[in-house]
Amino acid sequence: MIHAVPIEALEREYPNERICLVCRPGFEQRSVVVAEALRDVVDSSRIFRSREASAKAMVNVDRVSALLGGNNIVELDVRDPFGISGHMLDLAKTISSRSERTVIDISSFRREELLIMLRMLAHSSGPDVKCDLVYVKAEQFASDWLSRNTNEFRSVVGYPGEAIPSRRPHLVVLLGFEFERARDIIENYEPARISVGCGVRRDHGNEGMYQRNRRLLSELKSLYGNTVDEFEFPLNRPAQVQEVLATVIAQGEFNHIIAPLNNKLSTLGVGVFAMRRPEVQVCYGVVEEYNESQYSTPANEAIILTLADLGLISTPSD
Amino acid sequence: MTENPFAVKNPEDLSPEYIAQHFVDMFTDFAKVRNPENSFIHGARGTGKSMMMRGLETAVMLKTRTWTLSELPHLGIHVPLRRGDFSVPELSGPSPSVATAISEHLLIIYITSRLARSLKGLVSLEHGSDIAELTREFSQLFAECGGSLPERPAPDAEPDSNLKWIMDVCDRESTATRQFSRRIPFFRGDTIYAGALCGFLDFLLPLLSKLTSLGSMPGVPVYIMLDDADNLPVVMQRVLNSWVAKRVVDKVCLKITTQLGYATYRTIDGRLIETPHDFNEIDIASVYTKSHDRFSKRVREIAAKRLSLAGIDRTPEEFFPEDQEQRRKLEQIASDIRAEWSDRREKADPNAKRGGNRQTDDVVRYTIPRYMRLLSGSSKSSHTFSYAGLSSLVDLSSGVIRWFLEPAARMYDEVASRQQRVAEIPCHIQDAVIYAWSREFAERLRLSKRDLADEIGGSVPEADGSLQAIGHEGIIAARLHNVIAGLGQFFRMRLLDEAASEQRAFSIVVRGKMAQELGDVLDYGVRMGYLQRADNAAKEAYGGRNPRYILARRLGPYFKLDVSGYAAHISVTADDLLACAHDPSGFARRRSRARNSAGQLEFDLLPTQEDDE
Repeated sequence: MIHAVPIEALEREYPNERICLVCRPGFEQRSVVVAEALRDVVDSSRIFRSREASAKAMVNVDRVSALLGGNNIVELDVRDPFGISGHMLDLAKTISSRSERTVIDISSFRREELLIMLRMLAHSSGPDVKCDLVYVKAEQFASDWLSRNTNEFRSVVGYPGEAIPSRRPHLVVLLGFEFERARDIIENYEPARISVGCGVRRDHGNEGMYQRNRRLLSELKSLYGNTVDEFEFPLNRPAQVQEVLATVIAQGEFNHIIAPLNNKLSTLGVGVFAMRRPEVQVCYGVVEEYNESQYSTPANEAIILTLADLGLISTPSD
Repeated sequence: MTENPFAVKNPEDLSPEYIAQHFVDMFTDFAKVRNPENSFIHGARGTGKSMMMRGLETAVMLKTRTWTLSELPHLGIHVPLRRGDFSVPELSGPSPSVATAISEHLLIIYITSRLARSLKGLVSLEHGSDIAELTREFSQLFAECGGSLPERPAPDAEPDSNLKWIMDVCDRESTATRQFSRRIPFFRGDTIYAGALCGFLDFLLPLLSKLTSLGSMPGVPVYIMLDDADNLPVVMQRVLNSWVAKRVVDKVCLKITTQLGYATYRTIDGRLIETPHDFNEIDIASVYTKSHDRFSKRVREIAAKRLSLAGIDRTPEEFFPEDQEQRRKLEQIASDIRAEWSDRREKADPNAKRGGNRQTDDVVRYTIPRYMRLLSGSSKSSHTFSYAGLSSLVDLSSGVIRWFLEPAARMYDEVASRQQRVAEIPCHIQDAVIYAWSREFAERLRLSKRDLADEIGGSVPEADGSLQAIGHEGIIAARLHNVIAGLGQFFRMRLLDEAASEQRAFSIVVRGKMAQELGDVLDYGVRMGYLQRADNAAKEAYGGRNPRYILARRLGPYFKLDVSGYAAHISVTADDLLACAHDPSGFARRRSRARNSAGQLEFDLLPTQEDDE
């Protein structure tokens, strides 16, 4: 069952177990939190990193690698989504063949990488697989910008949708704080209908984050006028995200394209929803630059969920 | 509140009636587009490409002229190539030969669906047998290509029922083909495709030949307007190029639009398609950059039509009035300049300030710069310069129709929110929207939020430390940021330099061998709309004539420049410009120190072939 634990209590979730830890250290501080908390129960690891990782990211990669004593480092190239899917398929097959538990720290995977991983896990995992997903929440995000210069737009591998020729596009944006990215996606996909969602108030870390989310939604609406429908979605409950999306896409015959731009938990909800509704496409905008120096500060809380919590294990694989 | 007459709408969503009503003939500016040839039409977003393509569509032509179907000069099928439909990595995933075959098949299915959709409602019941015959041909060809079909409509079914059936088959086939590609990431080895494979020569060409041979149809070429082909993956672009290479223009003409990001002109077997042999090529920005009068006329026509359709009985000049107080001040300055010119001529003073040979030249060159200097003086009121007025709005739109419509729409909304009836846009509203719109554009490139024009000698900060990780394109964007910032600073400094004989500059001519890095930066700037490239720069950047790059006038208010009419070219060396890409303020400082013994800024004014840009 999905539950939250303080970071210092994370190790106690795995008494008498030796786990395999999968993580992706990067420029964010929260990308090392789980490795630090679980280092004494880690038996093996698989560390992912960006092929062109910045100096700041490499510091954390080296730190985690030293912590875990692992040299199983896999490079992910943002320019090669098929290459990423190959790595994730390998990972999924390895996880499904293990009898020990795997814990995946999803906190700092790019959303595209996370979605591809989810797809491969759904494809490869049987009912007996032991796999936890851990997400470290953010206390705060940078106040002015998180990312900029979106230079490529594509569907996520595994979620191509059906793109029926006689239908027009409906873009559904789960908005976070990346206003520019959302705007660029809307302008490049040129949808006939736009639906933009904001996280529900109670799920935001604090009132300031909620107000910021709402303000950005209003700014987006002012750009595109009366064509924009608005909705709210939960940030911590992937199953409920699916319910919201089902309602949002219920009306009219469109090619639905979802752009998850909020946290990893809501992104998981999008992924599971799109797997169950193969006519839906999930899209991704590749950004050139992240505000590495100020991106986020980690909260003292992690969310733990299993593949069963996402309903994936019983999903028929391709 | 009444509908905004300047609202920018997606051309794909507009009805043929709306297009016909609002359409302003652009074909006199781009006559080649209508020729029975293959065409590539290039232009940034908002330059009017899609509206032009919709103007060639059968249903729209029937509404704009008093033609009947059998009298049309061509049959037009508009095929929007949406990013959501084609920017799918799985389509490029399988082995190259599989990817090519699947890509061609999908593209043809897509076009066929649009063909059927374009004919709906156009063919009368008395010609229902023609559509039935077309449907039979479609079925036969599809079966020969390996497809399976549901039961066809009855022989006496209405034309639209047959056309809907074709669309349904296309929808189903598209889904089935994409189902195959969906499985590709899960299998490492070769995947076996067992579905239909339609090709240009064995399916599309014979289908279109059948279409135009039907009694109710004119026996004319079919124009397939493939809109925004940059959205296609490279493998599909090569398929398209292979079709172009076949040059079957007596039957099918391909009209392909791009947003300047088309990746390749190679066919699937590696050959290069070339102009004019295989296609003609039109660069919208280049045409309008070279002839500002033509663009100005088009915008005026568009504005006048939209006002008329909205029931607003004003001319565009009346609806977007100029700031009369500023106009009076400018006229006073112009009068002073005329008097000074006459005085100089009378005295024949060799030490007098250099000026033009004609009095009108001096008035055009110096009136606004002198006024801007006055504003920037002790009163520090540069920000009060007004860009209001139709002429200025046209200048600011830099050859991009949407850049006139978008701010106009915002202005209209602003006024309409305060009053029921909008008869004109007050100058202060025009200026508020224009300044915000210019700033928005500049800040997309993350130009400094400081007023660069007032910080001569200041440096533009680098981005926050993550350039190392972002790869080639991120660095190009950062370099473009620097080039734009440097040029903007320099042009502003020049404007405020009373000693300069040419104070109004808006473009540069690049001399010397251009490094690849600089070429990439300038190309990126053109693609993103921050720069426009003049005709003589098109393919000669690395040899031959010197390329000219014009700063988008939309940036004028941000840098507080004079955006009107004639402006000088400034000659810069490629090395100097590359240095600017790394240190924009250093570039501006160096240019400002490069004075000759007369204390004038040195520049190299190349002879221009036209008086306006």
